[in-house]
This record gives sequence, structure tokens and C-alpha cells, in this order.
Amino acid sequence: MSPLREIWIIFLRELRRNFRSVKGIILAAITVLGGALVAYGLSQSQDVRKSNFAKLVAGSGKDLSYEETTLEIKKLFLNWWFADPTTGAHLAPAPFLLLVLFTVSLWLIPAVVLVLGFDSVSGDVQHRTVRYWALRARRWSFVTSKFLGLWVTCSAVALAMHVLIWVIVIARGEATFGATFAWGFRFWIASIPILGVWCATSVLLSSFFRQPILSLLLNGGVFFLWWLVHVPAWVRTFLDIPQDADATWVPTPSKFLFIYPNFYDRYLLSPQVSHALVGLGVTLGFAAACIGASSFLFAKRDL
Amino acid sequence: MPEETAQLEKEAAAPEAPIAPAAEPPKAEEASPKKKRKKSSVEVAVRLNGVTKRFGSKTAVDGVSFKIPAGSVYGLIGPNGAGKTTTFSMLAGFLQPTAGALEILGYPPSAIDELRSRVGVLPQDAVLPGSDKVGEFLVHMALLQNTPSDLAERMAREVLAEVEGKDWWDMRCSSLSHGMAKRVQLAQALLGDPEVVLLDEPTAGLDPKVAYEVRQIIKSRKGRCTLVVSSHNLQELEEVCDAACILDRGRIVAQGTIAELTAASEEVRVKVAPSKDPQTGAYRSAFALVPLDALRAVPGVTRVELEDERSELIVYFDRKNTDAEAVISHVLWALLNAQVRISAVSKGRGLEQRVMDLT
Repeated sequence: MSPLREIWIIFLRELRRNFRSVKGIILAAITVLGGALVAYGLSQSQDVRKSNFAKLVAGSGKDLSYEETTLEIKKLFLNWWFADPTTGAHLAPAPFLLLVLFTVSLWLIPAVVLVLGFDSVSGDVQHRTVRYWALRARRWSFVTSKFLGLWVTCSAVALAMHVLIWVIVIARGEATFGATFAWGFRFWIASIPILGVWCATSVLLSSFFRQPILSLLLNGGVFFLWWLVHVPAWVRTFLDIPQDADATWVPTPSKFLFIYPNFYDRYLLSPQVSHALVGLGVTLGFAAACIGASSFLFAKRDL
Repeated sequence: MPEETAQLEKEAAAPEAPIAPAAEPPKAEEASPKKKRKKSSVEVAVRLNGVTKRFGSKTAVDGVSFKIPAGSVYGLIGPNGAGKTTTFSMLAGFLQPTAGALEILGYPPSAIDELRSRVGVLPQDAVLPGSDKVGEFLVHMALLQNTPSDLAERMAREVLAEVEGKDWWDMRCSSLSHGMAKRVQLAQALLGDPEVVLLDEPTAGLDPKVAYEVRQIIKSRKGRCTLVVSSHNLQELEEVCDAACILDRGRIVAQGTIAELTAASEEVRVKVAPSKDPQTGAYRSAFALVPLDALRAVPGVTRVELEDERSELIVYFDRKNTDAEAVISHVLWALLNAQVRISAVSKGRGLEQRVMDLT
């Protein structure tokens, strides 16, 4: 039997298991509801912004269009947010709700991965369930299948969240179906390699322990530490604005930001192919390295 | 007895023919899928050569070597901590030996492609995946054994029926009782009619009825495959095994056929009871009426011993000149003529007694 078929068989079981598990269902529901709540809040705030803008324009006597004005503001904001004028200009026409949801989903992703993935390997090792696979599957294909199962499950949860926002954007008439789908799908696709990094890290950490609780603590600890290291670098990069900076000022990212998976969103969303390939290479390369290390550890350990 | 033990120990420790390195590929025709599905033509199904397993400073298994001929039922016997489960786990690929080499059907346990459909394993404490339904778990296992998708379900249903669990197909594994779970575990081990089946404590924790049923399932496989059974239940092993090795503190202290281990082909034991003196009415020693000279004169008998502690008469014989059945007939005839009261007769000393003596 080829390793690919072996991976496929175990992967399908993982998907079935993840979608059927109580924690999977609850988590998916919470994530989707949370996404809906954020979307509702954002759409309400947009209404307020529109109304305030209309009042300001009426008071000033100028003839300004809301769309054109916000597009310019979005460009400036995204130049700063992504630290890249090309990406900022490229993404400015995207529906604002979709952009915000993309960022929010990247923030939620580690939590989703943590809850779904902490016991991906240790859960099967704890009660020796993995022994049923010992003479039927290569250990590396077992680990790879676990990773793929987790990755696809988390991607599906993220997609559910994105689709919900697409529906809201279309229903509110903020963008056409075509534009919403094109941008929305692109944002979701861009989040998948980043998800891969989180999932692969979780599987690697899960393969260190026999007790899922230890794996949960380590996963949570590492994820938090990762975030913690990135925060001061983010603050230094984006909020340490020079006094002579004008509205077109673009920050220069600190090198510490490059260790945080979510930072590669700007690469994955960049209109420049070379940038997108760098983002893809770094995220998928890191995930592959984690799965390689995890497979090595798992192959060497006693079950 | 000590000499015999020493001899058996010597046999156990004797170096075996060198095992081919794990990395050495088998012959191409042996490795082809078509060949793999056929019954193996190997003579030795399982081979261990100087296998040692250490956990930190603790040596759980120490230089264990034995061979199991294809088609036989082999027992791993020993008290708790003897190294049975560790040896079993190395055979099943769960643990990696610290030193030495293991082979199943000529391959190391890590050769998944060569062994996936040829070896079935019933691990002792491996919990079934709770969220899986019994049917989908067995189908999944069958698929991983390279069974075509259209046959996997049929094969799973057949093996589930064999363990009398055909009604459990849609039950979640988490809802099975201990006995049901054990039978599902047995079913996955028997999936696809493997050439070698490794069973670790197959009846542990089962009530007598279920244990009996599981024993019957194991017996029904006798002759169809090589069975390796690790168990505390010595009666069970004596009943089903052709040969066994007795482990104690990680080392083999005896190995051989069950007849050799129990000395069934070398001695007959007769348990005698005290009898009443018809004149005084007082009880006499159990051995008072035993006609020792008549017993020594039985053809083939080499020695007669009396064991006070168990009130047993032990008759040793030369198995080259006679057999246990002939000796039993003669001995009983002599004892009955001497009006000795007989409580029980056995060939050899029983596996349980043997293990108690050695460990």
C-alpha cells in the first residue's frame, strides 16, 4: 500500500472524528457565532460611520462621496497596517467587513487549533489506542494524517466563519456577490497556510506527551509565548511613529515580527507573486519542518 | 529439577543463527502484494535473538531468545514484572528493543508494508477509539490492511460475527462493556485471517463465560495461523499452547513444548488419600499401603518418589521405552491391588506447579 493511500485512509477517519467530536461541534458553533457577533458589531459601526460622515459633509458644504473618501482612508490605513503600500493599495477596494473578519479570524485561529489539536497525538497515545495502528500504518503517515485532519478541520471552521460574513456583506448590499466571493475566498485561502503553521506546531507539541493535559498546557504556553514575543515588536514597529511622519508613513517591520505566523498575512495577500511565494514558502516550510520533527519523534518513541 | 532448569536455561540462552539485519530487503517475490496475501512458507514465524529492553536503569527484558515454528500456539508465561508484555510489545512493534533483533515472518516489526495484513495484534490495555462505531473501526482497520474497499465491510462483518458481535456494528466503541470491547479487540486482531496472531492477556478481566467463549475463538484459530499468547492464566495456556517459555525478571527460565515444561512425558503423579485401618479404625499415612517395589518393577519406570507435602506419588519413567498412558495403567493397577485410595492422577506436574517452581 502506498503511503499516500495510507495517509488518505487515516485522514478521512480524522475528519470524521473531528467533526463528530463534541468539542469540535461546540467549538465550530462558538467560532461561527463569535464571527457573526463581530460581523454584526462591525456592520452597526459602519452604519454609524456612514451617518456621521453624511452629517459632516452636510455641515461642510463640500460634495464628498463616502465610498471615495473611505477608499482613500482605507488605503492609508492598510499601507500602515500591512507595512507595504503596494499591498495596502491592492486591498483597499476589498469590502471592509471582509478585511476585518480576516484579521479577526487570524486572531481566533490559535484558539481553535489549541482546542482541537492539543490531543491530536497524545490523546491516542494516552490510552494506547494508537497501538491498533502500529502494525498497519507507518508512524510518519499516522502523524501526517493527524496534521492534515486537523488542518482541514480548522480550515473548514474558518471557512464557515468567512461564509457567514460573505452572506452579511451581500445581504447589506456592501458589495456584489462576485466581489464578495472573490475577495472573501482569497482571504480564506490566505489564512490556510497560516493555519497550517499553527496546526503543525500543535501536532508537534502534542507528540511530546502521553498526557493530553500536559500537551494542552505546553500548546497554550507556546502559543501565548509566541504572541507575547510578537506584541512588543508590533508596538515598536507600528506605534513608534516618527515625529516628522506624514499620513503616507509606512513602518519598517522589526525582525521579531517574522517569527509570528500571522505576520505572513501581508505576504500571502500581496499582489506581487514573489512576495506571495515567500509567504507560502515560509509558512508551509515551517509546517513541513514541524511535521517532519513530529514524525521523527513519534517514530523513535515507545507507544 | 535444578539440573533440568539449568539445562532449559542453557537452551534459552543459547545463541541462535544470526538474524538478517532489519534493513536488508526481502526477496522481491516475497515482498510482492500477491505473495503477501498467500500463506507464508516460512518455517519460523517468530524469532527473537538476544532481545533486551531497558527503561532507564531498569532492565525489563534481558537477552531473550526463542523461535516459534509457524503454525504453532506459543505461550509467554511469567509472573507480574517478568517481561511478558514488554516482550510482546516489542514483537508487536509498540516498543523498540534496546539490543537484539526480532523478526516476524522474516521481517522486523517495523516493516509495515510486509506485515500489515499478515500479523494481527490484540494489545492488552489499548482502549478502542471511543468515538468510532464498531463497524467503521473494523472497516478502517481492514482498509489499512490493504483490503479493497468493496471487501472491507464484508470482512469486518464476518470477523465481528466470529466473535459473536454482529449486533454491535452501529454501537460506539465507548458504549461497549469490557467483555464486548475485548471481543471487538479480538476481532480486529483476527481481521483478514492473519498468519501470525499476537494475543496479550486475551481473557484478562473477563467473566468465566466470556473468557470461555474467547478461548473457544482462539482454539478455533489453532492450526490456521501461528498464535502467540501472553497470559497469567496457566490452565488456559496449558490447554491451548503447543509450547511456551517461562519468563522471570526479564529472563527466560525455561522453554519448550508444554509436555516438556510439565514433564508430562517423563513423570506420572498420583495423589493418594489416607485410608482407615479396618482393625483399629485409625487413619493411616497416605503412603502406608503404596507398593513401592511393585511400582519400581513397572516396565520403563526409572524412579519412584513420595512427596509428603502434597501426598503425591511421583513415578518417573524413560519416555524412550514407554509412554505415560502405559505407565498410568500399570501404576493404577498396582495401587488398586494394594487398596490404596486414589484422589487424582496427572501426567507431569501441571504448568502452574512448574511456574511456581521456577519463578
